[in-house]
Amino acid sequence: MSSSRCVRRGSIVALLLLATAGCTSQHDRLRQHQQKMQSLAATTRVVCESWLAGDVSGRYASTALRQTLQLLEQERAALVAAPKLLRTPDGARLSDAADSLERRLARLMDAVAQRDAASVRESVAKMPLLPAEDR
Amino acid sequence: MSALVDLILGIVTSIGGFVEAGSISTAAEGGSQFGFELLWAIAAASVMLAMLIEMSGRLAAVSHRSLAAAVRERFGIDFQIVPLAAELIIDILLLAAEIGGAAIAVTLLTGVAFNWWLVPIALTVWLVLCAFGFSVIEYGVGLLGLVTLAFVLAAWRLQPDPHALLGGFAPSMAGHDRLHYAFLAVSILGATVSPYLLNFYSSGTIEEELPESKLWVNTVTGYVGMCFGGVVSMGVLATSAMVLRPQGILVDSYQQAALMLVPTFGTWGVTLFALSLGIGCFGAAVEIALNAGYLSAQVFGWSWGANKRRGDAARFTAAFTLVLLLGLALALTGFDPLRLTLLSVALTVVIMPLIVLPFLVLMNDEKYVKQHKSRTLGNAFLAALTLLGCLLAIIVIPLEVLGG
Repeated sequence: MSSSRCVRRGSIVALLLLATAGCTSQHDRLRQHQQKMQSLAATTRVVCESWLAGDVSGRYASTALRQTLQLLEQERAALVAAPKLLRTPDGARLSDAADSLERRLARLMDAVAQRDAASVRESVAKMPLLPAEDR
Repeated sequence: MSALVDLILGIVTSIGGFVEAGSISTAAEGGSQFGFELLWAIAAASVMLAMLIEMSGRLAAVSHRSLAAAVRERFGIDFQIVPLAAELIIDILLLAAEIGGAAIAVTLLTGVAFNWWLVPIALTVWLVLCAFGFSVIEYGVGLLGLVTLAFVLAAWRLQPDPHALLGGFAPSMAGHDRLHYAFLAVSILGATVSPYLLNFYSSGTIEEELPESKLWVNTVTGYVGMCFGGVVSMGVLATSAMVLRPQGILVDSYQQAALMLVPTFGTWGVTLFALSLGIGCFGAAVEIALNAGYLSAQVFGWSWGANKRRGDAARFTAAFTLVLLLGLALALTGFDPLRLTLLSVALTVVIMPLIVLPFLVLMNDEKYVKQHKSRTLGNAFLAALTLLGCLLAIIVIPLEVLGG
């Protein structure tokens, strides 16, 4: 097989793969967003619980919560960029959950900075559990 | 130093210097998302690296030429300029990722935003390169890097299910998110079999003046050191799988990954993670920058050597300084270090055929390796790796877009 034919066939394969990028189902994209949200909520919970247990410093907890907030902002931006997803009931619930988590993160960051363990404990206890995904 | 001391130091520093931003990020993300299912990728990549490292050391010890110098001599500058340019571009990306990783490690310990640490870390890398000879750089980084054994200890103390663990060594396709799984498998290969390591190792063999009579030291160091180093990477993946995955945490940041050592080490958990990340990334940054100097000097025929006075190898010094500056500039643009790391290691796969194919020729050329030519297994391995590299080079960009 000539090298030019090889390159042509390889390019066609690559283009086909790229073309399927637009064909990811809405269900798959929602599932991915939901997994990310669950991960960020779980991270928030674990960081706060570790701080309450004295296993991590306030410095680390603040850094980790701030980074989690940045990741959450990226997820929200990705959701906003897909209005079709937001129009679905699941997408709307996900958007609401992102808003709620963002407000909770802001409160937790303040509480950790002020070393207010009671507020952190109360806030973590009230964190809603997103529907579990089988992984 | 006696051969035995050389051997022990070589193995120990190979283990300590194995883990850096690429291996930590790919193993942590792989473990958190797919459990033990990607252990086979780390094992395969470690064996590939061990074989390539042994060959590059053998080439250097027998021919007294580094890999880059031998390729230039054998194939000419017109051929060499393409892999040189490609490798330098990848090196700049990797350098930015490693400087970023080291900066985040300092942030984990101090709480000060990582952007503030980028310049001091790059400056420290440069000072180490200017002030110290090869042995101090190589052994210092490697010995400090033994802190990464914390991941192996954590994985052992968490008592993984032996059947599940062993099952991870059988290549398989994930039951979910297959594109992302494939992307991570390719990224693990790219993170482990980094092209810069081959020329760095061959240059180091010349710096240390390893004689042909001590090739067995190179062989044992290459195989034992790299394979045990792979065990550290597996420790990262296994610990992430047992700690982060059950809690529903998908690693998207180093701050999340740091949580994996807390159950085992308590209050020392985050500190040990930060030290492992910081030392691993700093060491890798030193090696990548130094290799950029080696590569440029060896291709263009300049004087080179970490054991030389910097003034006696001015263009070599300028080359690693320039690459370090470019890596720092990229890091300062604000790309997330973990995302940059994953992009960089995936792209290293693209240039792999350019590095491995000339190797296949050199390892069978008596002018360079005399009677120490590659045997059938070695040639078959290099040929297979070249083909695999070509295939992965075609699909890695679509995988990055779809599954990254």
